[in-house]
Amino acid sequence: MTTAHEEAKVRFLATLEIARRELALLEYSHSKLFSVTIDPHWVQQFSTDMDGAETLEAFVARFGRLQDTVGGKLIPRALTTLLEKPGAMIDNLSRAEQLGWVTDTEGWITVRELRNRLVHEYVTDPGQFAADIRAAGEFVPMFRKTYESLLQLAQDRLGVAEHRLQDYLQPNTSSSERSAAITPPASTHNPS
Amino acid sequence: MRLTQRQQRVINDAAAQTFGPDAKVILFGSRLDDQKRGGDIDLLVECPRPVANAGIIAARMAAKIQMQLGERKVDVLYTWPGFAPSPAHQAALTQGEQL
Repeated sequence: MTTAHEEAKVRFLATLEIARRELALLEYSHSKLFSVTIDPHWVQQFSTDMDGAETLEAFVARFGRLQDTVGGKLIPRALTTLLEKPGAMIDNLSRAEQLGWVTDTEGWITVRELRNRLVHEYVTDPGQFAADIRAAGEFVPMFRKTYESLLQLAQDRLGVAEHRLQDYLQPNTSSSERSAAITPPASTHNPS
Repeated sequence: MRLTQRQQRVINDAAAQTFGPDAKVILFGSRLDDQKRGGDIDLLVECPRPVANAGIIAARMAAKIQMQLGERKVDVLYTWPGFAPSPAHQAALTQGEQL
């Protein structure tokens, strides 16, 4: 295996670990936000409900962060590990759909547009705003499915289980240390 | 207007598939200016009656356009009789051109 391919593998696995963490944070905010009914009445009491506003803010931010990680980094890097050449985002998503990683490319793009509306000034109607939030919420399980498909790829093709993903995020760990036993057992201990 | 026949057709088809065949699409913003190049595609969809969940429908219309025309910024506003127009809506209605 070439060094370049080895590096691509490491980048994919490190990005998968980032996506795992971002997904955990998003799922937390998602269940907290949707523990109450999101309706026009809920939107209207926003100016006084500081906790609710903060929960929504966290949900929208985490949603956007994960969508950018998965669409902009994880899927292109997964394609690279398969020795495919990534292209524009929509093309990558369509390819990911063919490979079974993404269920609905058009839905993916739709939610990205929706998210832009949630953070901009377009929404003045409380009913509309509540509907937009609910639509974004319905998309969260699709992120989980995409993550699980790519975790499967990591396990089946690269032999890396979920609990080992975090090893690939440590910038000081070289690939030789991960795969072989060059690292001294007490590597965390400072010898001086 | 700086949109090709194909681009206009894609936009009209996307509007018909999402907002319905009665929706009219108005182009406004920088794409009306023949002196400029590239830029966002700013659209206002005029519906004959109120539309439920219009935000999601507008997002889906923008997604359909991007799937056909490639990644670019597409802004879709909407209006219907009785809809309280924003300054952007008013500018689109007075300066825009129907596709």
